[in-house]
Amino acid sequence: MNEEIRKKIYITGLLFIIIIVIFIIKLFTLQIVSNYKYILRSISNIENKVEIKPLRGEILDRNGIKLVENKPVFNIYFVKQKDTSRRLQEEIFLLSKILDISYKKFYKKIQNIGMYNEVLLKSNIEFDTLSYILSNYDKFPDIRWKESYIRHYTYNEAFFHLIGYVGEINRKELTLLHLKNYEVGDIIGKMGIEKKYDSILRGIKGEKILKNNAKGQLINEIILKNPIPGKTLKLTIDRYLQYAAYQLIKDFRGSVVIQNIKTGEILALVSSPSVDPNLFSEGLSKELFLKLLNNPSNPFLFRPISAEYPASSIFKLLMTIAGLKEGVINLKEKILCKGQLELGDRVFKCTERHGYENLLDAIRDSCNVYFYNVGLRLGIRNIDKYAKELGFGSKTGIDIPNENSGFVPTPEWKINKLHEPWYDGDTLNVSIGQGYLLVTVLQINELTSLIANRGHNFIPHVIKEIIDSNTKKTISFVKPELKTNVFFEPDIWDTLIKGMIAVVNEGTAKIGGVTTAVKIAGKTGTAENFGEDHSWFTAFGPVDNPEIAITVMIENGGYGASVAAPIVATLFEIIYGNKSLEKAKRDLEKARYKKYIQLLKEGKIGHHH
Amino acid sequence: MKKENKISIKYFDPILILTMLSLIFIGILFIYSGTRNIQSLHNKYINQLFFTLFGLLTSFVFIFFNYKKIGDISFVLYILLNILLLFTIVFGKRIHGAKSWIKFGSIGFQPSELGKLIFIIFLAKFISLYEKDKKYLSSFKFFITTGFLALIPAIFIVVQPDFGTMFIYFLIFIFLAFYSNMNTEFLLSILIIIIIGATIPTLRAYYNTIDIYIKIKNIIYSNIYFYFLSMIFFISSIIFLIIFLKFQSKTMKILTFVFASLGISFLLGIFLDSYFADYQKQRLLVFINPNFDKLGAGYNIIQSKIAIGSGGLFGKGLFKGTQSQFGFLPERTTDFIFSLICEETGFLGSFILLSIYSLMLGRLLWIAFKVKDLFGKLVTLGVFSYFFSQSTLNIGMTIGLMPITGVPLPFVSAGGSSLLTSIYSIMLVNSVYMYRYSA
Repeated sequence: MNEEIRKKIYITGLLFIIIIVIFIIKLFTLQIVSNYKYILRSISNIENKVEIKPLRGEILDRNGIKLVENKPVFNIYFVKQKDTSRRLQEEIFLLSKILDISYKKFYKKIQNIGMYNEVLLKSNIEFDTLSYILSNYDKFPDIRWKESYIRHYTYNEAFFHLIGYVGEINRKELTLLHLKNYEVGDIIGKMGIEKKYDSILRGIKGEKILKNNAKGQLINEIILKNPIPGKTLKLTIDRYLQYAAYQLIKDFRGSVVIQNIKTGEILALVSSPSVDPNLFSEGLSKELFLKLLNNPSNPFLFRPISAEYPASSIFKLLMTIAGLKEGVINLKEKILCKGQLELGDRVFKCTERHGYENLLDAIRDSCNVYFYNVGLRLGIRNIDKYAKELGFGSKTGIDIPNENSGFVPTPEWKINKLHEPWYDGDTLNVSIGQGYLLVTVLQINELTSLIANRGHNFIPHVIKEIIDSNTKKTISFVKPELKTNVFFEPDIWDTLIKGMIAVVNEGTAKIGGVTTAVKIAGKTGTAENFGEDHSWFTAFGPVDNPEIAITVMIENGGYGASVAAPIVATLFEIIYGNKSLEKAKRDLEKARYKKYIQLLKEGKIGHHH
Repeated sequence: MKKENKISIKYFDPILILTMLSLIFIGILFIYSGTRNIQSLHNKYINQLFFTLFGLLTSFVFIFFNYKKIGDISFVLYILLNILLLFTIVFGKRIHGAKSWIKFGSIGFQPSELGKLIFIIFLAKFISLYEKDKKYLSSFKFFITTGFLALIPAIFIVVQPDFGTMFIYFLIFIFLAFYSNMNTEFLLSILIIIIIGATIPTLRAYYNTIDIYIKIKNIIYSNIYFYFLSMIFFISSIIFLIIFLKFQSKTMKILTFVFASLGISFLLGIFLDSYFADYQKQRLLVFINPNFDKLGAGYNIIQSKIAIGSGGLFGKGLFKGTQSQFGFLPERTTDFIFSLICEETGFLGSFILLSIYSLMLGRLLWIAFKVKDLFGKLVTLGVFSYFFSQSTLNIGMTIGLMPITGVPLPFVSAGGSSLLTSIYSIMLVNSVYMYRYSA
């Protein structure tokens, strides 16, 4: 027995030596051979390179007042720790009540995360909520909080289309922009200035090393690279005018353009209906977003630059220029208006029987028959030539995205697209701003600027300066740039301006467009449409030394002078008459009521001017 | 009596005692290192120190009494052990999913730990009773009887369920059966049964996590195929048995055993598959590839390897291991204390630790070699197999060579029951050594 056991002890000893040798070899490979690899892994356990997000550049109005600022908000994170006892359930229950998240949703969120990893529970929480949670920290040991910044839009809806909004980068944007250092989780401008100037506003990310223990608690932090904040944008917009204009049209669907005609600077560019961009910053629900997208009034459409409308009677101004320049009309000639024009077997109507009218009368009364004749004498090719030369059918070149060019129809286009020849009837329609011709509100305002400046206008722009956020020094500023510059006979401009003054003082806009604060000149328009007519009014002032051009377009607003003209007048009064917005609004209501009564008396409601 | 003692004190074994004390010292040092950043665990190393002193003081019993007297009461101890284990299952406290603790006031106690020593003493005594009857020792009947007696406490531990501890009991039994020249065919059979039996649930759990051809999946997951296979094995085994009975060939005898055990192993595999909890299967899987579940079961082993590997030649320095001090290494005072030592003292430290263990284990084998009394010999070999298998499993686990079994590292891991049992075991062997010439 003893001998046998001794033999087996030898065998055991051998087994023992083999195992020890295997262990030592394994330890040698782990600790000596692969030492470097494991050192790196142990460092990556504690050290975590994270980016430091730069502050996004602010956006200011022309007077340096903040239109967008970065608002600090608090985000609540949950860190999964080993304890999965009843205490945790209680904690989840309490938190779901405080943060207003359903228990189920909460549980789902934290279920699939790894140990000591954190998950965002709720962003943008109130300071009161945070301080409650922090003061009861013993109840919520798994909660961490971080500060972050969201975009706060000071004037809510008024600047929605112009400035736009921001959101997390999506996959489509990422595939386009990943070469420009955009990464998953980045905040990117989704619309308007925020989108177009994203590369200027976003700044440059910094980098830091966080040292954490296994529970994710911070031990130490080393900054490698400081972030560079985005640059500040100063706009040409006057925030008060923009706000006032929005207030005046927010009950309608429509646009307002206010422009400094001496520089091309846009003072206000408003579209209605609008959306509060702060909804996007605070986290918009999918339902609400879809509801906005499917809204038939399309609140996302930036009407003054994106929507294309029939030009309406305002186009008669261009017809006047073309007619005078080509010599087909003069100031003296009188044309008979019988209330309609017969062309072949078709009848083209006027608003009323104007009798014999000269050019100035025709502009003042917006006589269709007079301009039908101008159109026939010019021919479509001449009309197209002047329309294109003076800026229609092409983008104005404004420095914000989504501008459309409008449309100037040609006979070739009609043959190619509609497979029909161009008829004189088509020319007649174009002559009064109807038919295939489409314009944007901004293009109409550019035409008004051109007339006010007697032959030249500027490329409209909304960016005034780019300012370094740290030093507050201007890096670059936008200079006025001529857009159209024509040298026509001064008579042409004199005639037009006279006609437009007449429109305001005794013509179609008499009832709505008069303002006592400043002398203005303008032109109404009532665009025929499938529904109620679109109401247009464009004007400039002061007449003696023109500075400002304003165009208002109200969709389905009806008679041009009734809705759009009083708004333009009110805006001039706000600019030149120091009228308060509240008073302006009240007066506008009164005027609207008065006009309604008057129109009823004159039986003008439902007619086209 | 007095004279006997005087003689024996002279033979007090310094190597066993010194290696034991140095291991305990290393343990306490690194328990302190592993808990110094955690307020609530600050007393853990003091506990360990207390248990050391308590263990050393109480173990003087083994010095002043002849170890053979313990052998005489081993049957009583065995009965007591089983009662305690049964008591634990009924009234025990569940910690980490296993009901293996009973509480006396504020002190918790793990009967299955102390049970290891009782198990060794009992088996050694039981085998040495039949020292003279060599034929009976290698007989089928003796193997079945011993196996049955060994199975009772093992079953109680499986029920807790504490798979790791049960495995140590099993290994102690295998070793002692091997030394006492029990039936080798049985041993072979048992190994086949265990290996294949454990492979089946592991494979199933593995294939559950990956995409494989659907037909293969059907075969792996339907029990019918397995029943069918085991039937074939049983039938072949019977055929071999018939041939063996006719021709008395030794090959046929072995083949009979092998095929019978193949049959049993497939049945066992199906049983184990339904017996193991998902987390236990996960552990087996993680052994195959730690990347299976990086933050769950795999997390431990990955962090352990990072701790060991990043230690380098000289280590990061005492109390300077980032893996341990910042809490990435889990269970760093118990199951993974070896990784902590490797991180802070490097290859040099782990080599020294392994050397101390080798010295102790080698000394145990040497004593077993020298001692003439069979009971003493078997007790020594039992203690050797206990330390040998437990430290192999523990270290093997931390360096990723063996599955996560959750057995502590003898003398070093924090834990009173384990430490006391280890101290008593060494002191008992010391007693065997001291009294090796006594009648």
